Amino acid sequence: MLDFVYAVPLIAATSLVYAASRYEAMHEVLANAARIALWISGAMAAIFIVMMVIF
Amino acid sequence: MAVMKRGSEEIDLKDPYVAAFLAWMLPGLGHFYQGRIGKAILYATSILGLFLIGVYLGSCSTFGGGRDVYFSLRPGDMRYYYFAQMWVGLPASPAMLQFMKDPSGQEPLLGGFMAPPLLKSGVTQTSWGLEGSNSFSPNAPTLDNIRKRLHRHYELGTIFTVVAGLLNVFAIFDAWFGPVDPEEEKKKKSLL
Repeated sequence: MLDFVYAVPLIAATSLVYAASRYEAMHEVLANAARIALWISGAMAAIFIVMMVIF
Repeated sequence: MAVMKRGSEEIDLKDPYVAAFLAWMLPGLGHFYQGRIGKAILYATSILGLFLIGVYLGSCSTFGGGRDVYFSLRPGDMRYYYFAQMWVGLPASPAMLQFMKDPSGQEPLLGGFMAPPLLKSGVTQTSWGLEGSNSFSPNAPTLDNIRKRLHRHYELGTIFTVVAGLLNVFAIFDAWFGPVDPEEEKKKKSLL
């Protein structure tokens, strides 16, 4: 279960870089990065639950 | 010199080709050249941080550092991941130096840092302390031994460094063309 910790820097870096490539103002970058990070985490959690149910 | 207009905001991209090249050489450097300091710090921290975590995960005291970042075109060990890792630029360049100096990984530089692993043990290599040929050594830096020593950290380190390289492609495009305007993108998509 502790392996989920490895996802944190991946999700953080991906969200920040993707948001930074879309916006210039730092407050917009950070706000959208947080939104993207939540989306990614939610999607991963949903896939995890589906896989737990199937297997 | 190029200036990009984003609504009422003007972004001075200076020489975008130089900026893109610098962004490839070192994440954040291109944006620092353009005076976009906040983004420079953000890209440098995120991309280099991710890459360095990946290099750390692929390191051990026995076999040296960054064993998950290397270049190889040998049959049985075609290291395609490097084509993504190389986009981080200079931090991934020791792997290319190691490959150019010795693609077999038998006499690596820098204590084996980012050197290709051996495919088989039992090779005489004075720099690794092995003697004689055809003798098995569990401390030989073969791919099998490295994977056994590092377990899942080897794969995780590979993923981290690959993602860092691919993320720097975004940074390079941002330095070259400026940020993508999401509103314009939506308009273009609605016209299609």
